Amino acid sequence: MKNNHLFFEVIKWEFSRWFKIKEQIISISLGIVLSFIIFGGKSLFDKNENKEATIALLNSPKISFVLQKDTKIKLLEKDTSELENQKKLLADEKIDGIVLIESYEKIKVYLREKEQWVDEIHQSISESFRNKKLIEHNLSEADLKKIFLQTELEEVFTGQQKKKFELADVIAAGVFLGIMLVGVFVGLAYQFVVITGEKQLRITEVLVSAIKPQTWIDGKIAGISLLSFVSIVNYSISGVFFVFISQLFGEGLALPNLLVNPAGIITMLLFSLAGLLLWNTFYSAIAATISDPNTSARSSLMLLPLLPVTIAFFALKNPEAIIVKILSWFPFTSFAVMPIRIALTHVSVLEIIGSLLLMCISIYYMRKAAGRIFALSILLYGKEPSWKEMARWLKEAKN
Amino acid sequence: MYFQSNKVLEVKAIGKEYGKIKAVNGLSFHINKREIFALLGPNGAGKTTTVRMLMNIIKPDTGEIKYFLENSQEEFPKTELLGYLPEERGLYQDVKILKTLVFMGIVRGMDKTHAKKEAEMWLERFELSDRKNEKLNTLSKGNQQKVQLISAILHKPKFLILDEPFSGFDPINQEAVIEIMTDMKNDGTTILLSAHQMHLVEKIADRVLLMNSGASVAYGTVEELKRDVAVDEKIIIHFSDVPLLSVFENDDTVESVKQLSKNEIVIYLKNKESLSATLNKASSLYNITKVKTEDISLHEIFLKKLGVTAEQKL
Repeated sequence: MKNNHLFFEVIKWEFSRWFKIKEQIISISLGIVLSFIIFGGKSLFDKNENKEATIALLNSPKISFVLQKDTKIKLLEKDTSELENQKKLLADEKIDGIVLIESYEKIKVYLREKEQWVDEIHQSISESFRNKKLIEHNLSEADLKKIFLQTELEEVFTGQQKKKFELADVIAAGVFLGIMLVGVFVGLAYQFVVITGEKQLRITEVLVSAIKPQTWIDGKIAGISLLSFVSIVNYSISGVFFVFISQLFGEGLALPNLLVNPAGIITMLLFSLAGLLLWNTFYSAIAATISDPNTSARSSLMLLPLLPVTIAFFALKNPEAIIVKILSWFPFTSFAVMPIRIALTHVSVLEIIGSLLLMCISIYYMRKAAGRIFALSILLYGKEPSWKEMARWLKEAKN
Repeated sequence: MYFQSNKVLEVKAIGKEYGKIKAVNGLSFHINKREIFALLGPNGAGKTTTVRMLMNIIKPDTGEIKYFLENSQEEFPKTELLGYLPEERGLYQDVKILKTLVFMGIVRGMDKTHAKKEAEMWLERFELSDRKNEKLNTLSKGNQQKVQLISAILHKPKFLILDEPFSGFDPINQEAVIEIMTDMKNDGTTILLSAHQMHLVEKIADRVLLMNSGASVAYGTVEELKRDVAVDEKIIIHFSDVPLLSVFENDDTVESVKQLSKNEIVIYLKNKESLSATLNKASSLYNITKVKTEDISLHEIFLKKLGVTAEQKL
């Protein structure tokens, strides 16, 4: 009972030490501001690009073409003999460009710098050229479509794959992996800073005289996992704002199917939480053995989480591969690989529960091991226990 | 029955080895209720290892430790009954002082409101109340030590272990620490302190245990230890000429003689009664310019017990 109370007090302490609501709000606000800058800036740029353009048209072959309905191009028809005069006007910025049509096959454009109206003119004349050719060959638009028609291919999946992956789902899965990686690294950074910091500041001895090392490390793992989770939620909220702001500016980005499905969200959250807990448990044990993270060779272990995430990126290509299926069950990789499988293929509920259960069991035993290593490492100032010593401690553990 | 006695702690033949090094070797002692008990010894004597075993941070390889803080004997009492100031100590540098102290109170079983009230009271006593919302790293080293001490005593422990409590304090604050210890003792707290400032320990310790190489060298009250080293009085005599030590060394009433300077010697007497006879002898042989009598200090007892001269630094 007392240990439970202390466990929650340690969670509260670790979480409140590092969690600053002001910084979270600033972070989300920055995300919103950045989204506005990105999409607003793009919109302003497009608007600027679409300004009205006055163009001199020197059309000796008298080719007829139609500009877009909402065109910003104002054409001034001139004789070809006026070319030099028009060039002077262009140089004096009295006009924005000159279009010299020599034939359907050859158009010359004079302009000060690349502008959007050139594409519109090119497109309109090309269309006119195409229509001319259709008429010449006695063909209709429908005939043309038939000519370029491709063979229809329908994929009927008889395995577990639900459907052809939609790009939005693949992108969502990729974003999920990225955010998870951030979450794992946030936890890892805090674990190293907190545990090695306490050792260096000689706080640990004071604390473990009042709290059981297991309770202390449990609270620390949970508190820091919560921090990692909050950072994931923070990034996800920023992502949602990014999508909404893109829609405000008509960019048409959409939330992936996975995020509009409550069951999908819950599954993602469960795997995220369990994954963060497991990795934080692992790192708390490693950090407990390190005196100075700047000089310890064990600091290189912080790159380990890249492994499951890299594997999960491969899973984006082939979520049904045997290796991917195995890794979706392996506790240190399942947090990343299983959600990808869920997003892209059909995974049975039993498989999801089994994978989660395996992760929970791993967390339970890993925290026991972490507690044991922590209890025996805390007083080893300036000396790191060897892997052999740690293995012996775990073997001797009676708890 | 244990709990009927006056003991709060009984240590029986504890031992701890680190590889081939015996950090503590068959140490036994007990501590009584409301007493200030001092563990004294040079660096590497095994004091901190002993303290860590008492705090259940490390387990002894041999022997047993029993507490009697509640109405029955227990291997290790509830942590809220204990206070601990380790030798290797520190607190969160980047957290506000009051917040840290409240957390330390909570982990020692206090509720938040009570912990806050007590923390504010102690900060006031140490004249730090105006800095309670500042981070610890803004304080001087001495003031950080005060906060550290508060964190150990905030919850009014029944049994308090202070490992080198005077370290980092100036003489004025060392006196303040002594005052706090005395107040706590009067309020019913039993204190074990481990220190090397013997002149300070002498002022407050009811009983002491002198340690060397992990074992007990002497154990008892200061008076008992004096009797144990067979020294009752110390005379410092200054002569106008250079005295010969051997003149005094052969007396049965003299425990030992030491030369302090060319013209000054210190004579350790086995009993006070021989003082006048010794002085008569000295004045008959040499011209005495100054005489001073002093009680033998704990430091000297310790050196004598170890057979080390004062010149040999410990």
